[in-house]
Amino acid sequence: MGAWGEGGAGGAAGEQPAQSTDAEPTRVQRMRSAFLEALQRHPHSVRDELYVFAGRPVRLRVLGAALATRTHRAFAHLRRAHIAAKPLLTIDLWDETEAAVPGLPGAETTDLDRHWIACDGMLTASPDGRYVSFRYQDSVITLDRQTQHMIGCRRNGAQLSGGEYSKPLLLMLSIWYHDLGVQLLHTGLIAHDGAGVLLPGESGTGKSTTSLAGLAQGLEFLGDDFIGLERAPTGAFVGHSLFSTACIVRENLARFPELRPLAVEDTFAADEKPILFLAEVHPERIRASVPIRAVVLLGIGHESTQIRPARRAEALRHFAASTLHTVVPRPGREALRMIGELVENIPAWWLLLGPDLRDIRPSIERIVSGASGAHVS
Amino acid sequence: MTELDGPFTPNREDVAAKVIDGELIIIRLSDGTYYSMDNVGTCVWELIEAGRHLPDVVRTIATWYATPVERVEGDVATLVRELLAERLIVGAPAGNSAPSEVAAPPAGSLAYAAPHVNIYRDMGNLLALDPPTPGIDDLLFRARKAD
Repeated sequence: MGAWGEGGAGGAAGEQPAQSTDAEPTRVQRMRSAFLEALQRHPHSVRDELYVFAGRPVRLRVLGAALATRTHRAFAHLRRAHIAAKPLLTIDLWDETEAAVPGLPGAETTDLDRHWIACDGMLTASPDGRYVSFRYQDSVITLDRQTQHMIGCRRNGAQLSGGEYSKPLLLMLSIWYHDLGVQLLHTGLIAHDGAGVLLPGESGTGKSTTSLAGLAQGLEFLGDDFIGLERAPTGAFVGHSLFSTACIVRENLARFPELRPLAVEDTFAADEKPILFLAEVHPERIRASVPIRAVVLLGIGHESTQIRPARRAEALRHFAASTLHTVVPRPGREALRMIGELVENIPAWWLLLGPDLRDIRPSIERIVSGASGAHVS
Repeated sequence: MTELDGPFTPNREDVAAKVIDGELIIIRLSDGTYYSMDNVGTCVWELIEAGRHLPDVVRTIATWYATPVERVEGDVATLVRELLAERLIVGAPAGNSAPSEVAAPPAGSLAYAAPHVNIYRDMGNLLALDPPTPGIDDLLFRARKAD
């Protein structure tokens, strides 16, 4: 377990969870009580770690060995042994079966809540939007946006889907990030010497292959499909890594022989992509946050690798269309405004990829250094 | 005066638009359909956004592009019908504020061509296969601003 310094909440298993409030719905109170009971029954079964998400301190406590392993793993590169500030967000999760403390039966919603089908589950919001819950299969998690406390449980911590294992808590984190002014984008993000390069595009456009090839060739990795984008007070655009994982179709995995033995497939759904936990392979090349220096639109299947400038309107269309389709909850006008400002201020390029993946690193290096249109190989 | 005279206004509930390098990109937030217009179409959009009635839009475009009003009139009417059909613009509420000024396009972009809306339904079609996804604007919570 990590620790925080002055002003931190401190402590380990057995302490009180975040304070509830008068306005808290009964179902959330029940979840908090159940988590506290699970902590009291199993004080040594909780894995309690500190992280930095988009530069903000976060505490993640997971009770139950299988669920803990599967939840903490994708955040490994964001883990910190010590954080001076009190956590902004606290996340408490438990495995009902392992803890023998039920949470799901008390997690029912009320007639006043608003409901949506999302990501094959049910998203629920209290009338004022303060409490947002997501119920998926045998799990439920609630975010209190006022106290910045997430609490959830699942029936069996060993039965996570590939999405839950490779990108845990994505939907709830998307809302938390939004409240901080960090916009989730559907894009890859790699870097050369700390200079970030965004790789927007739909699935199948080469984001994962380019990100993994770049990593294998010594570039830095922040994400292969979802990242956070923030405008710093200085006006700079900063890209934040959310997960140190990549998911790649089995046929493309053959192109990365050094990664193939590390692919994890023990997810609940057998037909999903293998997951690569990249912080376990190249920890020194996984970054938490970088300033954005370029936007690269990918084209695949070309005879040779080429770089040429892209129009800003092309970059805007790539970003907006892909992000609107993929990010849940669907981004609003503010997100599009941020994307518009990004493409107005950051140069955009086309990287038309030939068959030789070894072209990727020199291409990215040239783009970061402001190269003009050229054949790479 | 006809029903096409306006004034109209962008459908701000559901549409985000941005002009970049002279190209107008419009995104319908509810279903991800996006649109682009260049040159004359962008000017028409900006004039509508500024609260101009359509006869004024037509006269302004005809002046900027040194093109007969009769030709511009038909082209703009066709464009406005399409924008209405796509729910990108709606009738402006009564008592809207006075029209604002719009800068003329830079010299060199003044070759007249009938305005045209490019429609990209690829994302819209994909989204249509799924149930309506909640938008972050559906989950507004204003009680706290972080940090």
